[in-house]
Formats: sequence, structure tokens, C-alpha cells
Amino acid sequence: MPKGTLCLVLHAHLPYVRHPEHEYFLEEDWLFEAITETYIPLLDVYEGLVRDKVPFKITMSLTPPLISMLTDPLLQSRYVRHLDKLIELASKEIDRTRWQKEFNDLALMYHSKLNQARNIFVNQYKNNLINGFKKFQDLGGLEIITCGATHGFLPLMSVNRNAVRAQIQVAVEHYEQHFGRPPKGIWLPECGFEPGIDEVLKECGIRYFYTEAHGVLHATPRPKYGVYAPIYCRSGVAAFARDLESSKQVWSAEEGYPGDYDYREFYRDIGFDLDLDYIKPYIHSSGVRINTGIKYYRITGRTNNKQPYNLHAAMEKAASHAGNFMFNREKQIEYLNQLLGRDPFIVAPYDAELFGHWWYEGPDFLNYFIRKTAFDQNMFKLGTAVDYLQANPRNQVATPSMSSWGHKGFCEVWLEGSNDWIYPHLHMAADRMVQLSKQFSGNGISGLKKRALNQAARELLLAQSSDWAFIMKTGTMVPYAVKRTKDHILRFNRLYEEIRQDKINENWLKDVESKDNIFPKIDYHVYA
Amino acid sequence: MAKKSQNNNELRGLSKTELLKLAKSKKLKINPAAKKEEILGKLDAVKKLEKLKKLVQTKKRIAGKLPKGVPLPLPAKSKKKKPAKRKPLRMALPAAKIRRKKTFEIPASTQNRIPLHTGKEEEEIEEKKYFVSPSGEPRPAEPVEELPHGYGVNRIVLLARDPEWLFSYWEVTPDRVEAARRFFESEWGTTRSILRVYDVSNIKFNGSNAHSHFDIELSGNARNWYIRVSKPDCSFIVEIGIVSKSGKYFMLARSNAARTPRSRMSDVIDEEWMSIDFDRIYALSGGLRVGASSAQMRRLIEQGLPLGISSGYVSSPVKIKGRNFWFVLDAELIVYGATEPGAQVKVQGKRVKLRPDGTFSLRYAFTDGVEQITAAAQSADGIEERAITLDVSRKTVEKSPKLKEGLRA
Repeated sequence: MPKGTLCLVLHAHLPYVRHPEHEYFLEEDWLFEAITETYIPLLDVYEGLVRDKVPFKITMSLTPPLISMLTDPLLQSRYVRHLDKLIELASKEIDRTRWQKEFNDLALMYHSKLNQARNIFVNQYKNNLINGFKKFQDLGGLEIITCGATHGFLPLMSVNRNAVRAQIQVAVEHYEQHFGRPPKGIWLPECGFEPGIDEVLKECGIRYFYTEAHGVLHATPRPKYGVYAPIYCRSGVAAFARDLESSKQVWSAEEGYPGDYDYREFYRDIGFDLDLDYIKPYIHSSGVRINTGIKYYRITGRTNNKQPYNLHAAMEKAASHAGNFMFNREKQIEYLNQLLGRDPFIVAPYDAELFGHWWYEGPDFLNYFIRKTAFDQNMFKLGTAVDYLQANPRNQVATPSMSSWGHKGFCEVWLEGSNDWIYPHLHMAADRMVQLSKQFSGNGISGLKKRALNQAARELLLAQSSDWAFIMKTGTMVPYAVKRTKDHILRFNRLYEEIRQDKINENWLKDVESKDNIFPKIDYHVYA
Repeated sequence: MAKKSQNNNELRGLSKTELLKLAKSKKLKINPAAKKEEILGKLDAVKKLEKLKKLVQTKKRIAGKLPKGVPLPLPAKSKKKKPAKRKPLRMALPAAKIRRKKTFEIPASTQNRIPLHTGKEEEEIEEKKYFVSPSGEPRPAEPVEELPHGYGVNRIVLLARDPEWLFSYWEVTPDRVEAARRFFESEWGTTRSILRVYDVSNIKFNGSNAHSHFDIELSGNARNWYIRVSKPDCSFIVEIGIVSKSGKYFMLARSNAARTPRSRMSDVIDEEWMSIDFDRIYALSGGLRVGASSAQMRRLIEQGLPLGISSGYVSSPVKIKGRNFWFVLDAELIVYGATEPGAQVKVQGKRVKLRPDGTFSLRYAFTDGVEQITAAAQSADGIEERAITLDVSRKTVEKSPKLKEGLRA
């Protein structure tokens, strides 16, 4: 008889990056890498679980920008093109490493996995991975929740409540279009919560959300069960808090599982290691080296002298770590049950891209873990927030505190020297959008003007992606993030002026519509 | 250069007493009996030093943002449009933004505070999503139009960043400044611009009923400010205003209210519930690290259960203590050949595909040792066969690191 529940949450998100004006665009690789190394392997794991009749319950958030990219025909065809090139490279690698068995085995492995990925993508899901996620939700094992429309960081947007509501409302409508029913829960972008946001969630029909641990721990009044049970906000929306103990074992680069010396080393990629003449067709066209995804070395230790990766040893490790993770959860839940006098509900959320892309063996770890949990123990079961609320409709009422799961726990990541300059523009644009939507509130607005108004809404949403501020702060691809912010604000400002003066340039509008084409069915009235 | 001599002339115009005062403010030690020329000379030297320091700091800042090995960018030809000339304002001019970057830690020693999970590791992994190349942006940046400097709307906005800090930005329009000037009349020359920060927790603010307030003096061209309030769970409103020497105050704009988040657990405990070993639950819930889990767990770990995580530092054989220098060398083999198109070629027993012109090339990675490459070509009509054998050997010798004479490893 299980004494507690573990709620695994995988948050899958990438910002909307789509550049039809370029034949190849570097940042589109973010999506292609995530598809090859995370999304397809996860779908493969779920497929196996269903086939082998292993019971499982996992929560996944798929953000609207990610869903939009996965269902976009241009990006789908570019992905297949990208994958075909990789398969070609893998074939060459098989030849090149023929005298070195260790590397040859790996080359064969990559060739086989890439072909399998292609088969899953093209043949099984017809280029649209959302078909796959939807299938598993309909079968019952997966609970898909939504997120902010463009992953905007809500506490820094809340000076304009309509803007916050639009982020949620657009996301809810987009979700319904793709999954056939409204979402029950939401993953707030970066877990960014502020009292008041729950009321907006309620208006949009959302029943629960997740926060960082201190969001609930610092709630008023004090939560009786800490993070081990949800609380209801005064509005009736439930808040579930992250359990740090289970998170750390996976997240920590130093002490967590992913740092194990037998696992694959992220930074030793043949894109960087091999001779330029050979690798040139598979890296950036200017000759700048990038990740290919074909990596031959394992972490080995804190040394530059990396040893060849051994798949078998890595899989053994993953299985052993899965066993260890399961054992720790058993002990934790047994102990808490005794302490609390009720079944604890442990929330363990992770970025989906951690599994596979960063931690290559991650999906295998999940696979082993889910199977072991189902057959090798009875202390806990996997469950979702919805399951919990249905079984326990009565919960403590408290107001969670403002929090996020960013570095330092509040807003600093998105509001500091490198990125504070964006807010005067974002806030002004939000105010203007609300103003426009009130001014043109009727239903009889002409075709061209309506198009411009809808496009203005799109530009605002795209500018609000928290990814840009995040990138500016962490410094990875800063010029791109700055350019995106500026592009969208400038396009918005121009649309605003053209709408106000009733002098809309149709050719320019058409061009912008084709580039920033997210949310085709958006209605600007959502800002009124 | 013209500016420099202008300043020098200004200095020359001052009396010796005024010069001494200026030197004192710059922390210069000057003999009161010194001649005016001497003082001027010293002030000039200090100014040069300050300029040099600023240049080094700027270079450091730029260098800090660039990855190693990329040379500092040459100063780009500025395409910035000159901002429209306004009447000289006391603040909000289009000069360089003054960024106040402050690092801050939540002190862990206050009662009822639990160590917050800092999220550093999650951030490091999350940013890998955007990783493509360690050398950063691989293509030349396309020129991007600049965002508007202002929107012509008089406003000030307040955001709460965390339990101790607020952030505010503003825009003040010329007409508002005019109104201020009219308000102060003759006192205008004694005025300075300030931020007035009000604690309005649980109050409907009407301009004068705050719990308390404090002023921040603004420096010339600031358009935003990080405000340290160090008061979690309080509401604030900020005004940007002008105050004269006599204390008369004129508000230029008033912000929205912003509330700092809580930094610790609530003191309100619901009376209906009974306390269940409260402190233990919080210790478990908050900020635990791997290996510091519940007491029971620790015991079990100590019993030696397999954790599967290796530990221990493995030093690389080629690094010298304290140095990061490295050097690797590798070799691959390219074997290429030609025959008549349509012939069949086998290398080491494996069939090789020929290009339409009958040529082929093969690339091999190999380690130290000897490889024998046997190749055979059979004519298209199947009658004649040719064979060639190539022996290659590879031997790598890595010499021990040599340091410059006189230095120890």
C-alpha cells in the first residue's frame, strides 16, 4: 500500500526561433538538438512503457512557443534536412573509425540512433511530435500542462494586469487548439509567482500551478505540511511546491547523477575536435565550429584527458542511479509519512532538456526509474497534481509569497545591469496594446486594421519572452537576444503608429506576418 | 583637447583657497604654503590618473564580456543619431546610463530564515539549452536600429526585485520640468533632483500619509535606479521630484505601488491546525543539499549504500600546478587512389565506392601501432586484377613539459 506520491514534472521549453529569411539559421539548432536528444528519446521511452504495460504518470509542460515550432512545417522540414546531414556524417564516421573499435562502436551507435530518430519523427509521428505527446496524454500516462504564451516572466509584467492575463489566455486557447481540451494546470514561466497571479489563473480556468519551495514555505499563514502538500490560494487555485531534496540529486552538476564519470561528456563533440576540412559541411557555414551531437568521450574525471565513452558502462550506471533514486524516495516518503501522519506529495520538477541534451543518459535513467518504481517497490507511486486534488479536495488555505526558481529565488536574473533596459519598452508596449484593444473594441474592425492589431499583439508577446533577459544575463548568445528584443519592440512601435494614423503599409505588414507567425488565431481583444 | 584647456582655465580662475579646497576633496596632500602653480600641477596629474583608471576599467569590462582569445573590438564608428536638443534639464538627459550594479546576499543569520535554494546549478544547466559554440556569436552582428530614447510620456515605474531591493525607471517630459521651474521661481538655482521612497504598507496613499519615507539624491543623468529598502513584505511607492535648499518639494511623477516579497516564514499560524514537529518539517523542506537529507537518510548513507557517484580528483598528467596551458596533437590518414571508372575496388577486404571519374579517397583515425592497408582493383570486364599494399606506422612521444629557465614547476 503506497504511503506517498511522487510527482515528476518535465518542463519543455524553447523560445520561438524561426527565420524563413535565412536558408540556415544558427539558433534554430537549439530546437533540432532538443528534438534529437530529448523529445524523441522521451517519446520513445513512453512508447516502450505503454508497449510493456508499465503503469506510469508523468506531468509535462509544453510551452506554446515549443508547440508552435514543433507543428510548423518549415521547421519540421528543416529538422529532417538537419537530421539527414547528421546521418550522413555518422556514416562517414563509421568508415573513419574503422581501425579503432571503441570509437567505431560508438559511430555505429550514433548511426543507428539517428536513423531510429528519423523513423520516429517522419514515419511514426508524421513530422509532428505533438501527435505523440497528445497520444500519451489521451492514453492516460502523461498529463500535459501549459505555460505562459511566450514564457514571459510574470512578476515583472504585473504592473499591467491585462498583459499578464493575455499571456495566460493566449496560452490556454493555443493549448485547446492542439490538445482538444482546456489545460487543467500551468507551469508558470520560471515559477515566477506573485500574489494576484493566481486570480488571473482562475479567470482563465486554470486549477493549479507550481512554485519554488519558498513560494509555499513563506506563505501566509504558515503551511502546516511544508512543501509536502499543496495549499489553496484565497482564489481557490492550488499551489504545489518543489521538493528540494529530490531535485538536488538530479540537478547538481557536482554531486548529482549527471556528473558521474561514466556518463557522456557534453563538451567533447566532433564538431570541435576534428579536422576542419572534414567537418566543415556539418558545422556553421562560416567555419565556426558548433555541436553536432556526436560525442565520443566520457566525463572520466576532473581532467582534460577524457577517455572513450562506453555505452554499456553508462547504461549500467544509469540503472544503478535509477535504483538509488528510487531507494531515496522510498526512504524519504516512509519517513515523512510517519512524521506528518498523512501521505506526502513530493513534487520533482526538471527542465525536460536536462534529460538527453545535457545528461545524455537521462531518458534511460527515467526509463529504468519508472519501471523499477512500478515493479520493485511499494512505498510510493507516481502521480499527478490532478490525482491529488481529486483524492484530497480539502487543503489548507494560504497566500504563497513572491518567488521564482531562478538564481537567488526572486527576480534578479531578469532584472539586473545587463537586461534592466528592456522594461521601459516592454511596459510601454503593453500599455499601448491595452489602449489599442480598448480603442478598437468593437467587432467591426476592417480586415487590414484587424491584421495589424493582431500582429501588434504577436510582437508584444514575442518581445516578452523571458529567454531574452535570461540570455543577456548569462551571456551565451547575447547579441541574438538583444536583436530579438529590439526587433519586436520596433515592429510593435511601428504597427502602433501606423494603426493610430490609419496608414498601414500592407507590404510591410505581410512581411512581418510571415516572419513572426506565432499564434495564427490570436485575437487582440484578449488585451482589453 | 579643447575641453581640457577650458577646464584648466576654469581652475586657473579660482583663488588659491578654492584650489586647496578642491585638492582636499580629492584627497591630495598639499602644503598650504605651496604656490598656485604647484597646486594646479598636482590637480592636473590627478585628473590624468582618473582618466587612465576609467579607461582600464572600461577595457576590463569589455574584456570580461568577451571570451578569451578574441581581441578587443576596435571602437566602432558611432552611427548614433544625436538626440534632439532639449532645454538643459537637471536629469534624464540622454547621456550614458548610470548602472548601479550591486551584488547582494540574503544574510542567513536572521531568526526564522531558512537557507534559500539559490538555483545556481539549475541556471548553469538551463543556459546549455542556448549553447551552440563556446566562441559566442559566430557571425558578424547585423546593425540594429536603436530603440526610442523616450516615449514622451511623463512617468515613473517601480518594480520589486527581491526582499531587499526595488528597481525604478522614469521619464520626465520638458513641460513637467517647466512646471517645476515655475513652482520654484527664484529658488530654482538651489534645487536638486531626488527619488522619494515611501513605505505605504497597507495604506491607501494620498501623498502625505505614508508610514515613512527617505530621499535618494540622483546624479545628473540617471534614468533608473536600484533602491535598497531592506524591508521584506512591505509596499512602496516612489516619486521623482525636485527639492530646493529650503526644503520645498515638487513632485514630477508618482509610481505604482510595489511590494517586496517575504524573506522568511510567516508568523501567522492557523489556530485550527496542530503543530506537528514543525521545525523538522522545515529543515526537510528547505534548502537541503545532497548528503544532508533527513537524519535517517544520513545514517543509511553512512552504512555504505551504493550511490554510484565517483569522487576524488584525478589530475591530468600534462598540467603543471597552477597553470592552464595545454597542447594536443593528433593525426589521421587519408588514402586515395584511382582506377578506370567501372572497376571494382576493395580495401582491406571491404568494397569501396568509386566516384564517376574512377577516383576514391578514404579517411582513417588510428592510434599508435602499425596498420597494413591492402587494396585490390579488378577491371570492369572481370579479367584483370591489381593489388597494392601500404604499411603505415604511428608512434607518439610526448615530452615532459619544459619551463623557462629559472622557474620551478
